[in-house]
Amino acid sequence: MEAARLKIEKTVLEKTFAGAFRLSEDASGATKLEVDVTVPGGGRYTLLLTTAPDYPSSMPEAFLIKPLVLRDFHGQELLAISPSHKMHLLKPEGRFLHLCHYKPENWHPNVTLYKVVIKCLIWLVAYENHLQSGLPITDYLGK
Amino acid sequence: MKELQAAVIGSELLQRERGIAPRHRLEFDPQSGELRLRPRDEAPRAHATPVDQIASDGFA
Repeated sequence: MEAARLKIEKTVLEKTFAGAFRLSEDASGATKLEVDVTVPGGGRYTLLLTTAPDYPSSMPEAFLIKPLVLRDFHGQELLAISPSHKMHLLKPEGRFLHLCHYKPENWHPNVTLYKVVIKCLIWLVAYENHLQSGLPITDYLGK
Repeated sequence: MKELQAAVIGSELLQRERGIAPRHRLEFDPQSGELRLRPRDEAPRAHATPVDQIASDGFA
């Protein structure tokens, strides 16, 4: 990530997730962002967003790293049913759930990591509602 | 109350997906770090950020 863009990302995150994020960059220019988020209702989660060196031309990837195990309404581990269109989950990487966020056609280099975190937060609200209703996440977020 | 807020957001998302016009604005409150709903006819809170567009952009 270019230095100017990294500065913008940090500035936005400091205004919105102050004290709750950790942003690091390796020598190749790939970055990792960890953010602690809370869903109304008390669920606490840690997200990991990774970007390739060509970000923001390419979309970041979003993972849920804490808690490690999430289950669906029926008690099945979400990792075991990934990828799942109904739950808006991509093929997992290792032990981490891989969350859908922006559609490629809606991605634009002006979209910041903050907006991707908000997108994941909305996914988490839909997930917590799914736990109560049993409805698939697509019912909340669209197909 | 907080659990109710999550359920209310869920109901609003469901209704939007069913084509019902949204009655609330979805906001992110950086002070609490949480999403909130606010009636559309009320002014946005000074420190909150509307995130309706982010929600309606669709999910891959």
